[in-house]
Amino acid sequence: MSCSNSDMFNYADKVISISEIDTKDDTCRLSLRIDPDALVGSIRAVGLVNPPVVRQRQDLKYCIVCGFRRVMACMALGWHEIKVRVLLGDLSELDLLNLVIWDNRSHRGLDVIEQAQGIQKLSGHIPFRNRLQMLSSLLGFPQNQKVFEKIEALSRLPEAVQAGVTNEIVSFEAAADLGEFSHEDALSFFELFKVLKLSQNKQREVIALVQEIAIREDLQPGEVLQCNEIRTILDRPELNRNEKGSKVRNYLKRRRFPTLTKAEERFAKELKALKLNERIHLTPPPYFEGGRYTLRMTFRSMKDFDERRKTLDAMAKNPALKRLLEPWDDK
Amino acid sequence: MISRLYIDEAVKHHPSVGAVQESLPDVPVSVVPDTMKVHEALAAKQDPIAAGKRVLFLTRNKGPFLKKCPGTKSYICCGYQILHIGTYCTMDCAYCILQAYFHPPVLEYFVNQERLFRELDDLVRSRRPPFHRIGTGEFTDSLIWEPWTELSKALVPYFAQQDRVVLELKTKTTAVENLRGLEHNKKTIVAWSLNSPAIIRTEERRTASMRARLRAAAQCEAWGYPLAFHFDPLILYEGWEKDYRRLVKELFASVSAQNIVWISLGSFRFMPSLKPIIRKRFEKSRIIYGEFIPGLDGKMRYFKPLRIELYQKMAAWIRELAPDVMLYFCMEDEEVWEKALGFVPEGRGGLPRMLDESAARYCGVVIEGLKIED
Repeated sequence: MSCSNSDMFNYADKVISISEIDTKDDTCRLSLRIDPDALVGSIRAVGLVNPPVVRQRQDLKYCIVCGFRRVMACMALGWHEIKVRVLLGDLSELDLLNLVIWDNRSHRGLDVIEQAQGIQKLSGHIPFRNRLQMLSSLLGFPQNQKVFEKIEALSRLPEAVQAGVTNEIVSFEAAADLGEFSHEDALSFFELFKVLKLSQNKQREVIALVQEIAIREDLQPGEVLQCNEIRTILDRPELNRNEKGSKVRNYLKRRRFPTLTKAEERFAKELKALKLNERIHLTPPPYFEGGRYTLRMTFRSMKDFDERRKTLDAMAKNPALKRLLEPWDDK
Repeated sequence: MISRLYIDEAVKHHPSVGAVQESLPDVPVSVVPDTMKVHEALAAKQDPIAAGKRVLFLTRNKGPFLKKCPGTKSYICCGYQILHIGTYCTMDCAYCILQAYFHPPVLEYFVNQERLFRELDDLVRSRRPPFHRIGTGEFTDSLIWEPWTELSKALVPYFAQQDRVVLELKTKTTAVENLRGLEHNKKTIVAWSLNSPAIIRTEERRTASMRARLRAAAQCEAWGYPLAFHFDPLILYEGWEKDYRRLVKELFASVSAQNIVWISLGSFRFMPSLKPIIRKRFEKSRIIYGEFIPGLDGKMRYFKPLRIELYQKMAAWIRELAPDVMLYFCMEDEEVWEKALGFVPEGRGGLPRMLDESAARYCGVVIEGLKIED
């Protein structure tokens, strides 16, 4: 068996000046991870084991094909020169992207942001009708149109939000939802999620609530997120992240569903007036629809049972029960 | 409007097919082995839901023509029976459930009406039919088919020659010309879905204006047809009170309450799967952003106190001008009935019975055990 390189890709190992590399050229960059810290220690200890792959442009500058973080780490170490593998021959952008993807996938799967970058960079090179099949196979995501659309939506997000997905500040599903917002609005959500660290479902709930409030009130989503009420909650130093998250969600829910929230608050008030103990629970029908209330009672003995009965008798005589069961009568 | 006529191979020699083809002389025709071919052609379009409104598929109904209305036990149902003549619609309403009901939806018309009339024969020959009200406007608009078919000309005289069942033709069009001069014997009720001009303008593409609908209703009244009206879906938006009050006034300024068999009220409700469709196809529509909660039937509906307020006001405005008209709610619970109308149907024999009685009173339908007094 031959151990030669592929027929397509040939290289010349070379030492070049780091200043000859255009580190801003991101034609072949998929990953947004540019923090070189983890690699600095390794390179300092054992040197640059795998030289980055570069390609010389017509203006004689080099662009990085594989190894963005390695180049950044060497720069951070103060190197002036670096050993690289220069790609030879006339290669198309599609060839280069193929190389980057397979180089990465040889030792790990691509994360969703890398897949999104891959979709964005490759789509123009692939016929539309084969797009899903080819991209899913090349980038390693399920061959499913909905999944494809969600990943593609990520490539439209501002870079800070994409980095937030990589760093798990924004969940994949929530980030896909943010794909339909303006960059400004997506960044406003991102700033909130950075502070609150919400779960995926809660992030999506916040996005949906803010979007619908904005539509109902003819505002931009960013204006809803920057309102005084939310800012005041976020500025309260005595609240921890979970408490802030809960208060922000409650505020949004109240603003989106004012009548329902009012009814829930009224129910809670009347329930309190009934003075039930923790062994008797009265719950309204979900969303007060259907009119069937549930009363749950626990007891251990006849004595217990007798006590609950007395509580229920008192409850039946309490005018709060009538108000509670006829919640729309004073409208 | 129709850009292609698809004909199911199984019905290509049916006489009705030739008649439809003659009414669409310039429309290209494709004979297809089954519905799948039509669905495939539509699925490739950018907006298959809109594309399905521009093709007409002539086929046969393999199931029953008479079907029960898909009501649920959780809410009070009117017991309407559907005469399943076809599916989908050429008009394009944002809230239309048919957008999400069929995958993908396609304008489909059943030509094997010999069996439809056999099913009707079986029904009307019975002295005690299991129901007395039938309508064609559940899976489609009753009158959109008029330009290409003579269905009304067949159905109206058919119902005229019996006295057990009444037919309701429900529409948002003004396509009533074919009804002129037909022997109807008051056994066909012509009904319109009504909404405010603001809602018609923003949410009901290609439907007739409110005034045009009312003019068509007045025309049918002049031809002696009993009428019905459906304020459904009622939508809460800024200015709804003023608009709906004016709509009620315009209705009773156009037709006499004495000729209205029933009026239904229904607030906007939708399956959750319809929401993304409305968002995508009707970007400017605001109707899905009301205070909706999941109902007992899984559909989203306005939070109950909002529905009650809406119905109380509508009922008061209608009662002010037509105190005796039969008013009912489509798919609501007892609490809403009690609070908005002051009674529950069960106390009056149930909603189907109440509507049957109205059909007996206005249309002369004979119902066993029921005596109508003037």
